[in-house]
Amino acid sequence: MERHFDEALKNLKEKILRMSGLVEESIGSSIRALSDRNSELAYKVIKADDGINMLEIEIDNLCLQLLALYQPTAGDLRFIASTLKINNDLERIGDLAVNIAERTLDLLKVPPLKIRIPIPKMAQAAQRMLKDSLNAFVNKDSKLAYEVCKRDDEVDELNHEIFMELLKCTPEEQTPVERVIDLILVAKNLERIADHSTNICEDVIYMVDGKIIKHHITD
Amino acid sequence: MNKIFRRLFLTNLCVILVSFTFLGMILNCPFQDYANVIFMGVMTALILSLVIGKLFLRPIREMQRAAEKISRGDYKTHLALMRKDELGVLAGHLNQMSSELQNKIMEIMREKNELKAIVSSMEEGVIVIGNDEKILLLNSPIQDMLDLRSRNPVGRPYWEVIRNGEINRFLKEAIREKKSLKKEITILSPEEIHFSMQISPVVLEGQNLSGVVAVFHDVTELQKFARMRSEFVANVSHELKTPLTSIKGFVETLKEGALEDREKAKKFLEIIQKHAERLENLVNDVLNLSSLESKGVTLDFETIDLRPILETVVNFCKDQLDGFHHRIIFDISQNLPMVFVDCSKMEQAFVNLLDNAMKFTPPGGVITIRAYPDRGFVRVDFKDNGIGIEPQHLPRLFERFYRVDKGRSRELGGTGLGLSIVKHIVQAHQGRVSVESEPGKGAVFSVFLPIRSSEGSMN
Repeated sequence: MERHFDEALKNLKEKILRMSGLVEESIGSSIRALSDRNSELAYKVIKADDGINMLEIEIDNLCLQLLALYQPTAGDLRFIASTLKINNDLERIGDLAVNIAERTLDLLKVPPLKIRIPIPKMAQAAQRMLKDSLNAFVNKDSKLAYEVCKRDDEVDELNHEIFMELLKCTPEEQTPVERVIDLILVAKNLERIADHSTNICEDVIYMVDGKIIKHHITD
Repeated sequence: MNKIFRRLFLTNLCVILVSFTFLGMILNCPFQDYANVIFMGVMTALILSLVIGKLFLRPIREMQRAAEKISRGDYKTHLALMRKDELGVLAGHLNQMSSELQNKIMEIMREKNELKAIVSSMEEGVIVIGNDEKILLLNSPIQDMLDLRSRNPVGRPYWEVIRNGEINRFLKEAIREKKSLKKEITILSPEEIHFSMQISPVVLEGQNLSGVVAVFHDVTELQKFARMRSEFVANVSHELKTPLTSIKGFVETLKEGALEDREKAKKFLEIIQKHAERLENLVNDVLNLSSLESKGVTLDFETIDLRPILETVVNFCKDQLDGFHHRIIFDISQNLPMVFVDCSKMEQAFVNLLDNAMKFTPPGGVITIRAYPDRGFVRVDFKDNGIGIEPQHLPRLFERFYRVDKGRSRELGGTGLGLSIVKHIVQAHQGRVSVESEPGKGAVFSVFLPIRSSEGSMN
């Protein structure tokens, strides 16, 4: 019985990490598609989302199965509960990657903007946050998780900066207006990715320390 | 230990006590004497027991301490026990054991360090995974390649550390089926990396250890090189084809009757001539570049002053200059050091740079040629106040056929090889080139040539 449970837990951990790998790849590819103006890559991201969605359902089922069959307690229970929630966040991040890929396909129809906006910088920050939140999960590192939560403000600021920068464009640069809107949406999606990464970190802190820090993060 | 001591002591005491009592009884002493004898017996027994105890127990205590030290890992322990009895032999064995243990452990450590040093000094990323999916060994290049940031990856399942679906799928397959795999993997973020991954099974016969070793070889540069080469071929053929198509077209039109109309025929011939010249320029540039790139090129070095060369260059470009109404400002440092260069090659590089500056500066613009010593180099700047270059183009500007604006460059008669030739010529002189620019504010192209410090040697 005990051994079966351990085996199932290991299986669950492998699955959620495979999921995180897929999501990280999706984000990386969608950003790359945007910066390289590569439509092929954007289509690949959109296509890969099906696999992520299937895996989400699989992980959900596995979590529920484990809860029902073994009635785990303490650390194991917290791990499964956190996995259930992280799974949800990862799936949403996958959707955001698809959104960025779709915006990229739209942007490819118009010539690139002449001015430089810090989207690559923001993308890098958001990606780093996601990566570190998953590292915190794998390493059961609540310290790193706290640190990632704090980085969310940076990304929020960049989002605001990009927004203001695009508003400041001359009317001539703003046409076609879809281009500016698409870029604002890309920044918004990146900001959401950072938010979901923060959620993952909160779940990691709950899993490791058993503490709930949501909504009122204190030092 | 104290137990033994106590037992030894008591046994001694009893034996001696009993023997003295018997002695007293045999001698049939009066009671007073008898008590005396017993007292003496007790004293003697005490002293004797202490002596015997000390004699046997001290070496045993020492050995105990030594054994404790050895078990704690202090293999330098040596027992100085000069005895010929069993205890002495035991101490000797203990000494031998500790020194042998020390040797064995040193050997194992050395082997382990050797292995570690070899694996970590490899350029390739290496990771060894056991059949239980746990990482047995990995080196630092792989951590950089795959951007692995996990703490203490050794001993953890590989899928916890490497979160790349593609790689993990292949690793799983190789571990399950104990087979070799060779795959090309591309990672897009955070940086684009291409590498070939070779997984081979590890089997140690007679032992429980088995698993796979995966070697990652970075082929990003190789792929980039291959791509550049194929791009070059495609570019050259494209560049050759455009003027050829024009020439062919105009010749056909002439043949089909345009020859009769003198006015038109003259115009067409002029166009044909222009395209033929472009072809000639292109072929010359390609030949130039290939001769510079092949190592066999011999440069005709001589120690010279740059000023006359720069003056020749400006005179050479004079004809073109008149059409543009550019103003050229000469700013050459009075004590410009001599340089050791191939005159004709350097002239060519400067012509290309000046030509470039003129093409991308609107009529009436100012081009400044500055030459001055700069930290061990003679620096020549070609500064213009033309249209400038956007920052994303700067790093690729010296690549073959790289053009910021394809249409305009061709219209101005550029081959796309000019700056690439400049870079190659300057590099052949152990110098370097750089460019600084801002859109709308012109550009500065700089050539750095090493100063010839003394006769026969380069600085």
